[in-house]
Amino acid sequence: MEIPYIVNARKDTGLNNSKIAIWLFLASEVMLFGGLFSSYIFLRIFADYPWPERVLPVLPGLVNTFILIASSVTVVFAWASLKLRNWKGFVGYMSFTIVCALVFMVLKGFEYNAKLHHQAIQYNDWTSIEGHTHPEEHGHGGNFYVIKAEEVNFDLGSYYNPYLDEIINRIGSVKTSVGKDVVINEFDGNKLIQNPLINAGDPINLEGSSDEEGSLRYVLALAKESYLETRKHNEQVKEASLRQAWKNVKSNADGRFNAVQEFTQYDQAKKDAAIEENAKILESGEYGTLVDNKGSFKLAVDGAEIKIKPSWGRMVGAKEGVDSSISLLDKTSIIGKAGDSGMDIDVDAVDHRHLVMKARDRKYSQAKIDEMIEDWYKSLGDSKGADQIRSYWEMHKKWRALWTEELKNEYGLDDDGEPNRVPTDIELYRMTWKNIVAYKEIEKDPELELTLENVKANLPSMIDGFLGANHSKFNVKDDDGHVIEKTRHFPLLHVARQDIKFESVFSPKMNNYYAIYFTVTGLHGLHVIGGALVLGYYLFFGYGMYKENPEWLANRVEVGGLFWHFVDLVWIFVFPIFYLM
Amino acid sequence: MADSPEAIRKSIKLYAFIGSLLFIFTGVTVAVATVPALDFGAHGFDYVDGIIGIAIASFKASLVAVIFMHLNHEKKMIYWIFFGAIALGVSLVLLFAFHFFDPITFDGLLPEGVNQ
Repeated sequence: MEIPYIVNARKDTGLNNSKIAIWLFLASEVMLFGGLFSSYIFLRIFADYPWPERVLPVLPGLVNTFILIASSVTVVFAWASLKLRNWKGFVGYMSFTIVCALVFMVLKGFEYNAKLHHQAIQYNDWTSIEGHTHPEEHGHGGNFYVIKAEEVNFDLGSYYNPYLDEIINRIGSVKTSVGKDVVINEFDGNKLIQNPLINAGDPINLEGSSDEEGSLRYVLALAKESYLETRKHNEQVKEASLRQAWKNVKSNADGRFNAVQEFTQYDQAKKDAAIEENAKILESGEYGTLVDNKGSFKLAVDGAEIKIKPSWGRMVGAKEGVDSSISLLDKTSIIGKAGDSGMDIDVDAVDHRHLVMKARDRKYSQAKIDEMIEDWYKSLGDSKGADQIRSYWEMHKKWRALWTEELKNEYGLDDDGEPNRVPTDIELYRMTWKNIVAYKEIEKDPELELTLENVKANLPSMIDGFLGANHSKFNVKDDDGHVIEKTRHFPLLHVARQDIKFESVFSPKMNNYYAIYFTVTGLHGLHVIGGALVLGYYLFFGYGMYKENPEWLANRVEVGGLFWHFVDLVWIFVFPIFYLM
Repeated sequence: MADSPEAIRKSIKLYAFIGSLLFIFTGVTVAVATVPALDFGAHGFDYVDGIIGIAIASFKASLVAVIFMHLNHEKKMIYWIFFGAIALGVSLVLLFAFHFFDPITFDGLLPEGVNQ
């Protein structure tokens, strides 16, 4: 059957099939992105934390905007080339469009990668620091809950093998033994047969597989099987007993409900009777007896240091040396004394705005707010990194005093004698990585004074910070480009776990801003990929259609191009909203 | 829509011109957000900068929609579909917004303490 109106327009609408279809689709896309943009607006208006305003590096967003605009121009040129029956022109313009899509996605990948490797830590007083954490090396670094374990309790119904493997790996060669007797239950009909498998105090081999007799995995596998069998048996006994109990009650054989008149009372009386009857049947053992079923296996560990990723569970008692426990998502619990769960971080930003916001909500005076900020710096202790960060803060305070004065001189005072322009909260309460670099450069050179000009002259350029804080730029390298020394522009801090209110990389978990940022840009990226696939199909497989009916291909490219322009149109809003506001 | 070869050739020049306008206005958007001399309203980001940024973005988006997507000479049905969707989307946002603030006095639009 020939499908009508694939090239020529219907007389009544003046449109062909694909044209009307793409516009209906674009209408649904308007609703989709409209919904997401309105979510952004409401999330921002009602945010109860300082909105991360103008935090994304502008340059990658700007380059991507130029790339999409250029591709929008070339896609329409590709369509015009087809209309002029210029196949080579079409191939050239369409190839450029697809290369643009690829470059756009690669750049987006770099942006995402930079964010997912950038860490933020919020202290209990709401001060936040940002920076790069150290990967685990020679037993140090990384982001872990650390516990000197005395016992590990595995939940037999739900223990998860990757967690088990990690725990075994972390225990290593430390002495372990079985924490309590393990008995295996078997059932011959309703008859219970119990065989001891291993006794409390017995040593246990951690390394062996689940087929190796006497190994932890073997014992856990058998104990799990026994646990599940016993649970099944108990369920069967309970179900049969309850069925019989209700049967007895419903038959009303002893006429016990004859005197009950009220409907509601009758209902309750039946329930009570069923419970009573059930207890009697269970006691009689008519359908078997319930078997005591221990759902856990206890492993005694002689103080092994176990490290667990925070995303795997929750730690109670994080201060080093106190009684502590870690509960994993698979219900495994590790009990012992807390180890050093602190995080090492090269700090590239300090942000007090959340603290200030909370303090203002409580109507604290400015003097009190300043004192709270100073208290945070005092609380950092006396490490080299802490001294450095305090020194930066002193420089920042000088800089903001100079900047306040500069704004006053530049823009004057209003009728009430107040300055027309004052520094923003970001300038006052957030030391960015660019500030830190400038302060370090000034500190290094004894001839440089802290002035507005010198700070400005030493700020890293947009290229240096193409994807945000650039740590590797300042390392000392030899002639071959190998790092000889990591220059500490960015102070190294060790943050104790108990001081941390919240920590996260810059992922959707971080806050609503990053959640909506990743949602919108991720969805937009999927559209770029989808559009590039469709346009690529016309480029690589369209020649046959061009030979058969060039107008048909021109129509298809126009429709694909409409989608591509829409993708560009969405980005035209994404760029200023997420990168510049 | 331009269909004759002459008209297509003519419109190619228009597309190139619109493309360069889009480049220029992208630069303007960034300048307004980053150059201190072009910082309108209060110092730093505030609602004035927001309005300017959205206005420029809307202008750029209109250029794309009107010229590149040929909405300047489209059939009536397309207008109904596309602008109908936009109108419905805006109405839903406003309905949601009016749950939070008074549409006439704008009371409740911004939480207390937000720099207006």
